[in-house]
Amino acid sequence: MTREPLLSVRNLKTYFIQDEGLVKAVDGVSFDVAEGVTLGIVGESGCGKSVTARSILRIVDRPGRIVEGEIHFRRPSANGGPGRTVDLATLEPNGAEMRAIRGAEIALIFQEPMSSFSPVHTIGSQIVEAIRLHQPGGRREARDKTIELLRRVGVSSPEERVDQLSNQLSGGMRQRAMIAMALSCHPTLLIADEPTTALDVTTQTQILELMRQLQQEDGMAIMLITHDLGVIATMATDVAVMYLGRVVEQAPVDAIFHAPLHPYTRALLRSIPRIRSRARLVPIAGAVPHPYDRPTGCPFHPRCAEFKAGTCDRQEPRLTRIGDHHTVSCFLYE
Amino acid sequence: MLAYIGRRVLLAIFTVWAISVLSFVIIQLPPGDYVTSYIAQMASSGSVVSEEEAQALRLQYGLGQPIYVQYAKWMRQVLVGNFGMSMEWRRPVTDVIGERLWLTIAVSVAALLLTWVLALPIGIYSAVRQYSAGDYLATFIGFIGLAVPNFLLALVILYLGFILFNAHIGGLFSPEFQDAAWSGARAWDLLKHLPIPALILGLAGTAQQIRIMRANLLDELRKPYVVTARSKGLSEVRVILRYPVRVALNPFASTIGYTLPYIVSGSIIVSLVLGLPTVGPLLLKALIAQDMFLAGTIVLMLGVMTVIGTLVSDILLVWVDPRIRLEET
Repeated sequence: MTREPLLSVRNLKTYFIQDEGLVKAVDGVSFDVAEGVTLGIVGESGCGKSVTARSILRIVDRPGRIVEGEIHFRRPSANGGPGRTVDLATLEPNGAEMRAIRGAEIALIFQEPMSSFSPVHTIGSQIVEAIRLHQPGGRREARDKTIELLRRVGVSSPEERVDQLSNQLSGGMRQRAMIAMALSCHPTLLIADEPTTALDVTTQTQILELMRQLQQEDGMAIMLITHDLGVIATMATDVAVMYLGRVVEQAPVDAIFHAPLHPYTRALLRSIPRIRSRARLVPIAGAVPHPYDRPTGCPFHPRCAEFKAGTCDRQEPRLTRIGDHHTVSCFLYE
Repeated sequence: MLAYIGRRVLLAIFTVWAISVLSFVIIQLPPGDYVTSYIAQMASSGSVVSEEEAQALRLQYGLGQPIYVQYAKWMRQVLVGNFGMSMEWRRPVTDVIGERLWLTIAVSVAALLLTWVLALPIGIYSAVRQYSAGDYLATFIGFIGLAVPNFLLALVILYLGFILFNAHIGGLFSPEFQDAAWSGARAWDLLKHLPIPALILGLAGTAQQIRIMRANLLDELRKPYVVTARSKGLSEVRVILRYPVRVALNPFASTIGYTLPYIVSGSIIVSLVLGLPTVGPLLLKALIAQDMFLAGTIVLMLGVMTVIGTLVSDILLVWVDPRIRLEET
């Protein structure tokens, strides 16, 4: 039995219309997130990972705009049934329905633990605000919940931390508090945008472990955005590889690491160091093209080892299904 | 928190003392002493001051004694509210300044409030809707407000008031209340007259504050904590007012300190043009006439106002930005 996915993004295009030119930050992204699993989204800086996340939450900053595509999200129903599916792309970004979903059903944690809390409000007041926005109950009750949440994510002495400002907390503590806030309303989807990038390695492991544990307890789906394939390998069930605003390959994590199809995925894997391997690291040739100067055809063709002149630079490859759960966008497989 | 405020108050007291020394120096500055200039002035108006009379005056002000004795004598008088005689007016300085001080404070506070009431929302709008038609309009008016000297604006408004409504806009009271005793009706009359001088005096400050608010808020709007607030599902208005505006208020609050005395001392010409019975024109006249007790007293009061303004903005800052509280302890 395959249930309808929790989140299904189809041909999403988010463009930034600027005086200097049009930046196609997200240019036809499609992927699915099933209930309760972790989808890793991986790609180099500037490939549109974060904009995809913000498009789903409808908090893309101007002049960015969703110009095309659908974002189907299945809202939980009160009785635990399949719920109603809405297309987030058609909702008013600041309308009541979108705001009821944002924070309550889809929560976001992101990279900057240093500045993602307001510097002039206490940690507690910011979490209390989120709780009271989406759940009934008074201030006292929300405060108790906040302390409980902080304890759950492993913040030390939460009774004191709740009244502290963010600059009194370490980076790791702040990210824990951020996770507490994101989970305060029991979202069905947690979008984690580079949640551990700014943390040191030991803290990184702890935070990832915490996220995995909380996922097991709460059963939410996680959309984990990162450029770190190591993080993907430990966390993700499925992986979507992005390049220049597109998903070039999506597959279960084993398939991505052991049977990658797309030349970009393969190049990406060759560029990470492995213990017990004497093979030289192979960097991906060239650099990510400037956003105003996108290549025609397949966006990866100028850097691709298997470039076929006349095809790759003229036509755009389509996302093609290879096997049950493996899709790839490359002329080698069409 | 209390320790912080206590420390500020102590510093304020020290500063006020330093200002009093400065005011005393100003009183002492002109060549010759008070009595010499008094005699000279009497002579210029045709009357003669006898030697005995001059001697009595010298004694009264402790002239001829060491400077610190003179300061102490003056200070003791000041502390009991005796600021000396204004020779220009031949009345005690307190009488001369009297009501003018309260009217000055009324006009200043009105100008300050108007500045905030106008600058805050316009500044926020300008930043949130950057490069919109409204932002350009606010920027345009803002720069005009900064560039046009406010006395010119006062003249224009007087002229327009006269041409269009045949009304005399100047002053703080209608003629019938000019010298009347204080009453509800007189206070109401004052309130009716306050907006125009407050607007003229506050315009430059308003323009400046709009720019400051806009720039601060533009910086803050791009900070990640705003994304956090938005991703909670707060309405856009609440996101902006509760988070970035709160942080952007910090420099806004710290400018009160110098805005207050600026309005008083910067208002001299406007007050002359509009015929406002405030302290500004008095200071100008006192300086021209070398009426040093009057001038020194006004300088002292301006100084104290600055200190009070700074103290208020310091305390406001702690409230707006709790990080300051932490740094102090």
